[in-house]
Amino acid sequence: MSILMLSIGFGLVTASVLAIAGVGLSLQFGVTNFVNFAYGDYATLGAYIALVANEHGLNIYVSMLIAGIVVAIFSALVNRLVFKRFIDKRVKLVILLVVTIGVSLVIEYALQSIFGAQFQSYTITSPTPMQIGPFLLTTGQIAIIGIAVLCMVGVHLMLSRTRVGKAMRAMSDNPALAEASGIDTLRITDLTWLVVGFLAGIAGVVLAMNTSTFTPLLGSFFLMLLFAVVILGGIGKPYGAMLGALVIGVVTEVAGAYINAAYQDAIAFLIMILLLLLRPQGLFSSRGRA
Amino acid sequence: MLAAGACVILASAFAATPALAAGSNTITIGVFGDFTGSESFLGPDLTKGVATAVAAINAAGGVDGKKLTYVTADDAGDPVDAIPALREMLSVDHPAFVVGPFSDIETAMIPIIKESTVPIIVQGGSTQLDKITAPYFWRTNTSDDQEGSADAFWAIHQHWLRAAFAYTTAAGAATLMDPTRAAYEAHGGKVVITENLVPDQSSYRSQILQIMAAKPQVVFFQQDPQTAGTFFSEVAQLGFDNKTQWLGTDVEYSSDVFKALGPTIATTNLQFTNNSLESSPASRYFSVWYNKVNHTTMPALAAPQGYDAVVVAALAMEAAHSTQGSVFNRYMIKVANPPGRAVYSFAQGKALLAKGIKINYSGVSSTVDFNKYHNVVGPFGVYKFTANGNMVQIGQISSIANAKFFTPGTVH
Repeated sequence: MSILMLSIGFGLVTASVLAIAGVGLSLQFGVTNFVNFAYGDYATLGAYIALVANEHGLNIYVSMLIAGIVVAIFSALVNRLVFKRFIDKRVKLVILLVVTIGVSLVIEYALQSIFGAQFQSYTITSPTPMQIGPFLLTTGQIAIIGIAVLCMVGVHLMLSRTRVGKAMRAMSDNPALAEASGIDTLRITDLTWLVVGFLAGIAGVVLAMNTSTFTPLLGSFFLMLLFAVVILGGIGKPYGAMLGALVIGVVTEVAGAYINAAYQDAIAFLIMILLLLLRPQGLFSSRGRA
Repeated sequence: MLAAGACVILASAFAATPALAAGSNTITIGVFGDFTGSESFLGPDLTKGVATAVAAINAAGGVDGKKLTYVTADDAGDPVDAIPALREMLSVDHPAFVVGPFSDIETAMIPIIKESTVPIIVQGGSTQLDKITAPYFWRTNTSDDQEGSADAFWAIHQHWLRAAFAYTTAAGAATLMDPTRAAYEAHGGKVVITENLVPDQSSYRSQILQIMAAKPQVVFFQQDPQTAGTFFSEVAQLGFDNKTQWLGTDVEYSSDVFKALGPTIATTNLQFTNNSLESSPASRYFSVWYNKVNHTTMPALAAPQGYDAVVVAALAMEAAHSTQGSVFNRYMIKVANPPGRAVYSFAQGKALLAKGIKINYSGVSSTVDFNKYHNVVGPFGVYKFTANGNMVQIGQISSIANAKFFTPGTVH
């Protein structure tokens, strides 16, 4: 088996995990126009909610769904109870960013207080490796890719075929015009946070499945790579995040196979910088959003 | 702004570790390690060993009639947080001595260690502490150059002459690579591939492929439990090669690693070296008390070393009839090193000291004989996991054999 093709196959798995999370982060930024540093911890929260469900005998995929729903509600509540209060007061962006860092710390330490710092893992059947063309993937990894495809199709249908999705796109392009056009921006923002939270929860479970063991720091380790995905794809552009995830996921795995693995993440960011030098707006163009 | 501050304060409240109040009839021990951060298992693991020693010592009547208690402080795995945390512990809790920190912090703590007037019994293996001259510095964990030599010794004597390295880039693992390589290659081994793993990544599959493609007979590794869980589950997915042996270190000698690996993976071709004396009477005594306190016989990482640290310091206080660091510090070597009647627990040592008999404490993690730099030396055991998560010893490397194997010049 070619190491290159095997690495590309592994890259597709990594890309799938990144895509689910990256699309959520990009969607949230596109509508709300601020970066949520707690996003990685939303994913971690999802992983732990699924752990509780799994430990009560539920299948991991059912647990994943529950995690997505719970984190969706949590995400919307945090926006209403915390972020919105600062946004309404028109505070400086840096203050809002610090607030998201505070929320991140609260979630992380709350999880540590409840579950402890020890490693957790799900009760799932040991995955069987399968040869699929030039790739060697386990049933679990194939499931991860499938879940990512489902999520991407779902996001695409929502954005292109539903009124809510079109309203999200309108808000992402020009919030003032969207509001002036009669879009209920408050309701759309709430729905965006629900969708974003759902994706974060799913991403957390998928990430925990991929790493086999996890701690309360699961999502925070992943956050920098997510930012690379979102920025590479074009900030606020979910379709760009999908493509960014594919590029970053495959590049990091292939780089790890041929170059010193310690530089894997550095190479991902180097690729991001080089592509941005060629195309500063990202792979998908983004008009006028910082 | 207020809400933002409240968020941060609330987060800090969750992170605070409980402190046990010290009265005039108690002696406070400081436990200093990672309770948060990427290595947040280290602090709780070390505390288990300290708690075991405290329980055993208090059951034997305490030190000079006083009970032991302990407080914890979090270094968060970051020197920026560690230095103020240690200073706060020393100035607020006034511990008689401190157990910790670990490799990720200890080199940054060298200035504080040198200026300390409270014994600090470090638990990491950084080679930069091999020849530190600080009167209040002690270490009950072996240096990485000894650990590396032991790994190389075992591999060479098993005729595994073709090796791969799969260490993480964490500070503790990074200082282990050079002495392992030096000792291994000096005795006929060849390192065919080196993969430096960034800890806590979501995938190591590509690196695993490279390692397997090089067809090593043995893979030397040191990985934290989180990384090991991900790494070895992927090794299993890619087809665990029964011809390849995987040789880990003291970091893997832990219930955390067994839990992370799961019984199926943990019982395949995985072996670990650790400085411990399984056959010592001290180990049997430790196991009984460890089970009483922690409800398991499988020790957590650094628990044996932490236990020995407390027992030695307690015996030194008993011998000195003082809990002042400036007084009992010089008794540390007197109770731990030969000559003297061998003792394997605090209770035994206390009884003999009461009769005016010179003792030589031999511990769980080693014979706890300090050299002139206050470091301990081996021996090392080689272990495998059993299906129920216990460790079974499959080999022993004596201090003398390891010392002959050690290649000078690898100490930084």
